[in-house]
Amino acid sequence: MHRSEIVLFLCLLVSCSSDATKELGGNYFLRIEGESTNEILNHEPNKNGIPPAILNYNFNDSFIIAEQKPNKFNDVMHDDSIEYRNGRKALYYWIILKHKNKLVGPMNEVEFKAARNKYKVPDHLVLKSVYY
Amino acid sequence: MREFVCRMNQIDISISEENLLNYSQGFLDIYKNAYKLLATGSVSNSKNQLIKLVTDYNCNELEIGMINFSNKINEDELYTYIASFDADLIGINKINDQIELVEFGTKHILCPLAQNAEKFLDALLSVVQFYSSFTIDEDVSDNQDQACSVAKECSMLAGGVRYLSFYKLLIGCYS
Repeated sequence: MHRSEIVLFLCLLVSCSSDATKELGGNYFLRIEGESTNEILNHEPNKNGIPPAILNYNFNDSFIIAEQKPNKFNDVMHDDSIEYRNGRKALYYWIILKHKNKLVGPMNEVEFKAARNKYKVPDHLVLKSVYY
Repeated sequence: MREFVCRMNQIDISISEENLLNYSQGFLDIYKNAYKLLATGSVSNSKNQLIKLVTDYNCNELEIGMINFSNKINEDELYTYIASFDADLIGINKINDQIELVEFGTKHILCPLAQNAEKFLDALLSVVQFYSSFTIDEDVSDNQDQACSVAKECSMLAGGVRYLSFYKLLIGCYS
């Protein structure tokens, strides 16, 4: 095996075994582990985040917004009492008010639009893929 | 302050008929609880009506636009802090009783909000009444003429035109 091939192999090995994280401010971060496990967590224990699977998200100084498609079962890392009113095949939306550590969700699309108005989430803060 | 509490507890939310079934009870409760004030059982001896409000009533859920109240009163040499506005703090100036928006961290005055606590509560009540005249599906800042007119009215209740910039921001008057 050539030296360059060994380096490439090692790089691939490292990229497969480590999670990517993006800091979102207010102690929250997005953990990208795989399509069904992407989630938003808080560095502080006992602070709720958004359970998997996060499909799209965005954030600014005040808010984190996210679109989520829940997994078949609730995740142990998150609030186990979350109810998905429209079943687990539907899409749900969440807003985190960073300065208040307040989590609003899961919401349907109509509720999300109303909540954006209520909390004055700017229109230009649009959802984008976690891989963007 | 009692009138503020009484009138806040009478505020109801409205929903457009087309979206009546789209909202869960849990979601509607966020809106309802944002204006509901329940007595804590404590009675403050303070003469300041804002301090009395956050001591005598549970204000943890009280949200008026981007203003979030808290039951935790913090203070330093210059201010008694009773709420926050986004990341910044709303404080009662200990020297002149004026209500001011203070930048988090630097403690710079961002803008004055009202001449005193009573006037601030009057202005806030007017803001809430304006919000509640819309269904929860509507954006209150869509009608700019109306939003700007209410912002001006609130600034007058707060003590004059010097308070206008805050109410424009709170209500969403962009002109």
